[in-house]
Amino acid sequence: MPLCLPYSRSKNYLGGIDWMIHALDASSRKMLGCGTSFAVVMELASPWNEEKLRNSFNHFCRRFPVLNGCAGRDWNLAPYWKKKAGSGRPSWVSQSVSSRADGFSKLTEMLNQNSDNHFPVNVVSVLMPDSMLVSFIFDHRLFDARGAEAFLAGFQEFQISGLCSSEFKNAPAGLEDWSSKFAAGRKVNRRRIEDEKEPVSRLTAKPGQNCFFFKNFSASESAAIFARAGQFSFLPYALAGAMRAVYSLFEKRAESPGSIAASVTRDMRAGQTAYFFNHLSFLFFKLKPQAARSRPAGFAEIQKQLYSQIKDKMPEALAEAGMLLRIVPLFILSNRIDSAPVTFSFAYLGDSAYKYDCLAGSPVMNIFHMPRIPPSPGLGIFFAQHRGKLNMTVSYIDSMISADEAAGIAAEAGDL
Amino acid sequence: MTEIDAITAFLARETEIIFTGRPVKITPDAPLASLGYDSMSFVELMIAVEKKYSVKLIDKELSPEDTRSLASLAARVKSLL
Repeated sequence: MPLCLPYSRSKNYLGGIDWMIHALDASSRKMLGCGTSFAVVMELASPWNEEKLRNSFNHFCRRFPVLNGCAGRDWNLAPYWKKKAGSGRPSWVSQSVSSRADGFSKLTEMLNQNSDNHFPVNVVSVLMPDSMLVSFIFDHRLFDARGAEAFLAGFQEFQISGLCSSEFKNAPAGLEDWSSKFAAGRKVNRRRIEDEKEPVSRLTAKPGQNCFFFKNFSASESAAIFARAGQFSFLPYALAGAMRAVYSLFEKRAESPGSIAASVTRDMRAGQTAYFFNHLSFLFFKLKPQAARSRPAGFAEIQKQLYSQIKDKMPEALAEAGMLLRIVPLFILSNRIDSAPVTFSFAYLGDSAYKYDCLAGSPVMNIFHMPRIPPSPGLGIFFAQHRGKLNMTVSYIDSMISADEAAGIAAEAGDL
Repeated sequence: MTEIDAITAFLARETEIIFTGRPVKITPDAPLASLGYDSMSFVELMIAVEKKYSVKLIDKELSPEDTRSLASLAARVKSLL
């Protein structure tokens, strides 16, 4: 008879990827003094009534008791999200600036000051002369990028109708099908051993502050980029450019670069309305120097690697194998993740899950993501799209990469 | 049912599987992007075609017209059989 340990249906158990994000969070707290979070930033055409919005957002958040909680271990050793009785609520911080150019630097400064509050969703806003930036900061342990966008869409739906279509369902413990989990673990491990045979260029992790560099593309620029990339090839196209940009960084430092490797997130959710926890997995790409320094060669190689990983169901295997890692204490797992041979993180989120054209009556001009990057790898290049307009964010730790180097990476990776 | 119709029906079934749980309305002439396809999900569709028809689309030149809709992709697959 197959072994299936009993578990409680009233508890929400964490998946393997959730546990890995907890490990990244622990490593980030140790090195940078704050956890793993990301901001979904909306540029609004007109200011909003903050007092009204604050009350409404607090009311919306109170519908989800899961927002008050922390990780714990059940008697069967499976980690779960322990809901706490509490009435935490989002913090709100607002400031004004006199020009649009100052808006983004002020926002970065405010994110660094406000990213580690006790509640998993917090808001900072910057009022600019003709528009405003509203940044919702999400704790990555409880939200992934798609979930956060869907949460904000739920808030807008709640604003309009007073209702919210998403219901929260507890995730089971996943304490069955052990042979399938071990088979997935073996597959992932073989791949890891293969990948570790060649040295990978990496930045040295040091304590520092998270910084960001943005590049926005207009609708016509974005359309031209998509045409150049090919209709369903934007990810390999942009990743090849990012690989080349990061390769140049090592070259400019007069270090002889080895292979460049990137982890790329993949959204694994079946439905659109799952707000909470991490429904994602990862693919790993690696280019030898001769492929990394040329976009066409890099593009062809990434296409091949993408095809082979999806064919082998590697993202599914990683998510399943991750369930076995939940037994590992966070401090051990965070050391293991810190030493993963990855040069940088990459994501292309595709079209935003926030489909409304306004938030609380203010037209949404753009949406972009600002993920805090963990101390290892210390560099992330992220693309998102809102209503046909591409955005790029380079996220980096200032002790590991200088502002000039980040600008160079952004210029090269953004030269699409 | 013609061969192209059969291939289109196969592609529509695969699309349903790829986007299980998402409210996708599948019609043969709907643009693939409107069905939700992106770089990764399109690769899943190419793999399904390879398994069923032994046609490796990744190695073939696909024009924007080929990837316009399920019907146009079916026509391209048919031309490669």
